[in-house]
Amino acid sequence: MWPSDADLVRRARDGDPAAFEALVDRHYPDCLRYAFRMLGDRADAEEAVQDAFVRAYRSLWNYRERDQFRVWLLRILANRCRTRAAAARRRLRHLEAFAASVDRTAVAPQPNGGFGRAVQRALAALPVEQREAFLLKHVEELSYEEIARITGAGLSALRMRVKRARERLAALLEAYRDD
Amino acid sequence: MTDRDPLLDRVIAELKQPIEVDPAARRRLLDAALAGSRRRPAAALLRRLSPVAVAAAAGIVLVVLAGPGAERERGERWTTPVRFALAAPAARGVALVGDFNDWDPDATPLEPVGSGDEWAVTVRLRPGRHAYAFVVDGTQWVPDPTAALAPDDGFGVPSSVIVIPERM
Repeated sequence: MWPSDADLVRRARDGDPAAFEALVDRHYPDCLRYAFRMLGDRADAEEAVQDAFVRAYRSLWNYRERDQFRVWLLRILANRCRTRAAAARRRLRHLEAFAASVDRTAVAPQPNGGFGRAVQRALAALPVEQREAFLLKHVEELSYEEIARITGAGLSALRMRVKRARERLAALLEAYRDD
Repeated sequence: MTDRDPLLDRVIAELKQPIEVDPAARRRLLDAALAGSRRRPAAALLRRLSPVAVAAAAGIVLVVLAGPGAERERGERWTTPVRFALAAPAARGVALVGDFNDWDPDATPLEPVGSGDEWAVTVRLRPGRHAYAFVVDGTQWVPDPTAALAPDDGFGVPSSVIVIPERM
């Protein structure tokens, strides 16, 4: 019989590493997809997911069974991704300050990698809050109530973020509409 | 109800594509989470101990596990001292920037060593992969010539990478 997340959490709390490993195997792919879509960098995404699972493991005692484990885990991961996205933005600002010292010819534009790359670029152009809300709603298929528990934002604000993200993505990717 | 847009349906289908899991990354995750608690997670132990016993146990853990140079940061993860050095004889100032200090060129200045040909600083890093670089005279971005280059992350300027292992 397929154990529920709550069963696995109980066993992991009692010191069964195989139960925690089963939770990792069950949720790692979705977490990696979310982190990669948020951060746009595989190594960063793997680090964020690892960080989230390590924090989750150390906080299992704090997990309440009335919460869905997936939503609880995504809340931890979303926080890690927000922190990393903010650090990346700060890094970009510092790099721009050094731009004059850099040989710009080394920074050749990337060739168009097709629709997938265009989507990732368009996603990266969204403000973090819109990207986060859009991914949680349309890719992770959570309800607005669940997204509110993850982000701490109100339902109206979340609906507005998703709406704006949809409009912006459609505008950025308009060239692909008739492909 | 949201109006359907075929373009956005296609975007969402693309974003739902799974990202291939690297077994090595999964292994690192499990090692990091389960390190030091192979038999039982800390939470399970703490729930079974009285507050006095918890405090005493924490002291014991620090004494037992704190090897040379290793420290635990507010009961969180272990940090390891790492010396960063750059030969820059003509420099007026060198700073270390990395994801551990939010790439802030004012946060971690290096000090001249000996005759001043070399600049160095020691910082404590948590386990994991850290990207970093040096900033010379506040204007030049220089990767560490003694370290591996980080993969291109789209910023267009090379940085170096160091990996701090988890303490087992």
